[in-house]
Amino acid sequence: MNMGSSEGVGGGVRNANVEIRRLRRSFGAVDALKGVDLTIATGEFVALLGPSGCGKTTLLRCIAGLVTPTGGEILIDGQPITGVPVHKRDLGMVFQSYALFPHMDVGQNIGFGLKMRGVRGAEAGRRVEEALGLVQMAGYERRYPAQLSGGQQQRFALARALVTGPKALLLDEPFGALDAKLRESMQVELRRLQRRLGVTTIFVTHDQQEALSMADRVAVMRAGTIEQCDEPSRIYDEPLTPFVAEFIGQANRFEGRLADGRDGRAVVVIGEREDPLPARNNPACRAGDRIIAMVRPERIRIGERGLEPSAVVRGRIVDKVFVGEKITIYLETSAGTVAAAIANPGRGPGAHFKVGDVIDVTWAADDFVIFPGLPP
Amino acid sequence: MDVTASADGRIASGSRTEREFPIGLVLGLAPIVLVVAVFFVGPLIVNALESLKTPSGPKGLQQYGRIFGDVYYLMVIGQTLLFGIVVTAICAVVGYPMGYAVARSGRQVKALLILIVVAPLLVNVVVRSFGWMVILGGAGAVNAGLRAIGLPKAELMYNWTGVTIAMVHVLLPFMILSVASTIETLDERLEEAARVLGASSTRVFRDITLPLSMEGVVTGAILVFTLTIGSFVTVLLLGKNATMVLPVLIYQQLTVASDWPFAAAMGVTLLGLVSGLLWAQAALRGALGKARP
Amino acid sequence: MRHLHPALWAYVALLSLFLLAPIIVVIVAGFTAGDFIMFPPSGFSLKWFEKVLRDPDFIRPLWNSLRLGVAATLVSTLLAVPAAIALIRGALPGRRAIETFLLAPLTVPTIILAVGLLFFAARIGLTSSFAALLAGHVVITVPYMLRTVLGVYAGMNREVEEAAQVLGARPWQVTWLVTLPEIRPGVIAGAIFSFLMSFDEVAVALLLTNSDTTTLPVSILSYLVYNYDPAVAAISTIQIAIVVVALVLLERLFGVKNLMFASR
Repeated sequence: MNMGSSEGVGGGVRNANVEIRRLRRSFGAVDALKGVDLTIATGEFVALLGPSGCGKTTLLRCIAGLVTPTGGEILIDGQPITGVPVHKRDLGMVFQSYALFPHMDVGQNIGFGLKMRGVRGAEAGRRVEEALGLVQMAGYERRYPAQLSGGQQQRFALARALVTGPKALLLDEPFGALDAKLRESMQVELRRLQRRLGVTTIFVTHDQQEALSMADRVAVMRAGTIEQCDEPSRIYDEPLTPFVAEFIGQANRFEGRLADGRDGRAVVVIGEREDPLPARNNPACRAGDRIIAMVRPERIRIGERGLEPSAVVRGRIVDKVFVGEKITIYLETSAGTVAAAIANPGRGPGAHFKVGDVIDVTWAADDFVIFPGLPP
Repeated sequence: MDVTASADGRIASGSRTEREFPIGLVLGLAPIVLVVAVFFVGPLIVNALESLKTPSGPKGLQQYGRIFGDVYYLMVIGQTLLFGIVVTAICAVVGYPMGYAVARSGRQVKALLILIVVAPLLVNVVVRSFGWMVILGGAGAVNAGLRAIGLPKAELMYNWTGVTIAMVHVLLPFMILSVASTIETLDERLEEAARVLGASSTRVFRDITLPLSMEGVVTGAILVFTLTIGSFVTVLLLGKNATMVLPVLIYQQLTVASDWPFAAAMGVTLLGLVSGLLWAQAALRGALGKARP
Repeated sequence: MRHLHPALWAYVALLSLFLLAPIIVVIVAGFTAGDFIMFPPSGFSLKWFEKVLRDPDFIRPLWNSLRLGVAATLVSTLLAVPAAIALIRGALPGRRAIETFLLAPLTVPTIILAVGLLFFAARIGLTSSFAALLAGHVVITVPYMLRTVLGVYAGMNREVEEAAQVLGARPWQVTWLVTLPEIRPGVIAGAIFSFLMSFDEVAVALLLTNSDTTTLPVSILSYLVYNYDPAVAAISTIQIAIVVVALVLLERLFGVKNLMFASR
């Protein structure tokens, strides 16, 4: 986690922390936000991730002030801002559509926030130049947005949001309109910039790769609540709910029952297997409960098994899908269909598996996560 | 801690946010509503009141009795409606192919065609009617042409023929634009799909394009009809007493006979016809809207 | 991409001729050297234009029409722009109803408006002919303005307004610095179209003008009732020229596509 930096753009330490408490927002009968709690530390980069309709954009817009919450409060540096109008919140925001002012040139666009704060003339010019330098677009002051590409426009939008040294930077799916390669490079650049400036950043996206690669913490949202907010690696390896496990990356999903454990190790009975398989403990599940068990395809190994407690399952290969850097093998097993993703072995071991082969696959018990199951 | 909405003029937009209700914006509406209420509704009300005046003093529907009790006036109303129907029908038939051409032509040709179609609209209706006088009159272009090839003079002015031609000319652009804009929204891939399935061009047109573009024809027709029964300059200049329509009658009653209440009553009648038609259109659209998936 | 039937093109050409015929005829007739209206005209001369441009009975109405058109357009713009912004931004209950109400004058034949206004002016003691004319023309043009501006504003990317707010602009600043410049081309296009509506208007002018405030269409009309000579053609041509200039401006600013939208 980053500490607040001592250099904002144009000088002045203004980065703040953001606290959201029990935030609610309804639109008529629809509850877009159902009591959200989240604290973003000064200088932290938090991604709000989730499918459309989960409330992530509504949450962002509540922070910006473009939407009024129906309940709860938002504090910036400990001060509640719920009555503060949008134009006084001192935040920076970047939109998916860039939202540059078409009738102004780049310099006027970027200088707009400064103008609103009474910064003009040479001082403003200097800070605009500095902001342009930050996004590596020096010299574009006199150009007009219509003449520029999407990537360039987004950089200017970023410069415009940062030039006033805002307390926090809000981004609403800013790279959604860019093509894949450009998106990747912009992600890297944004992250670099954010680290350098130490600005508190809240980033909305539906793209889990984007969230995982950029954020200090990812808040996975669904239907108006945050299901889990953690560092990317923990979101990935230790999902708290089935939704998080399935939304992030791939997961094999099984339903079954938690059997009586031996020596404190959880064992589950899934599919049509009679033999239970070892799994990772979850205090929320008690013996006899229905459970959902998940393991990621890339945690499944073919053949060899390690020293740790592992599940071993035999199955027949029913499909083999080549995706470049990895191969996904689908097996029919007594537990159900299992997808195993292995690194493309090239000509190494594993290359010769064909559809119809019967093989053993294993995965570590600690990689086999369980959650309380749904009632019948 | 619960939140109350801010009282200042905060602007929100988009369907994901609520809209604010600030005083400033309400004030933005007040002047225009006032002006329309006073100078549009006001005159209509005064008109209605005027139409209730009777020579004997007390208010009554006597004026309307005069209209609907006299065969002559009923005939005028009938003529007006018939005129509207004829002009509308001609515009629909004549204008549709042009509308289709406008919608389906390339960018530059389309721009040119739209210019040609819109140009007459922007020239004064008096001038347009004058132009037709020159063309259709006894010494006009048409007759000059007829004379040159030895045919007898055609009486095209001061009768329904001339008036109809001129009226069609005035209103054709509306029909053409209405049809064109509907056809433009039609996905050409529907037609292409039909062709791939083996339909000939005529069948494609008859079974796909035409039915789907009917909406544009209907919209255009209602527009043309309302404008026709409300128009008076063209008929005034190119017709005469035999080709009397309601608007011209109103004008006459007002200026020649100075019978204000009677003119007012006829105005209300005309307004009633137009409103009735628009209401029927809205009702029809509502019904069709429910019928369509 | 376009192969339309040649028969259709022939039809289009014919119909185009039909549409343009009266205009061409009028323009050509004005250049005749003869004393009567004939088509084809006899000879070429500018004498009728000279006559007309010197005749106060034509020049004053022309001037009146221009003045009235500009005034009506100005008033309509000042009324319609704030209203359009209010309708789209505001959370007013019954927005639809208000919009329908304000667009209602579009559906009423102008003869009825004219008659009603005549009675109305008499009843409230409005003696100024120009004021009554202005009121009538504003009522006629304001729905066009409103519809145009509504269309332009509704089609605008509203996120620029939000961006301005987040950057620190107060609501009035957002309107002044961002919204208005954004919609300006649309407003100007609507204004030009409104001007043309007023410039060409006959019914209201016919009933509400007096000898001082006569507008051009009315003066042409009354001239036609008693005379039938190329002077009418000449002044008509001048009127057409003014309209063409306005049209060219419209096209420059807003493109021909939107003529289709604005004139419906």
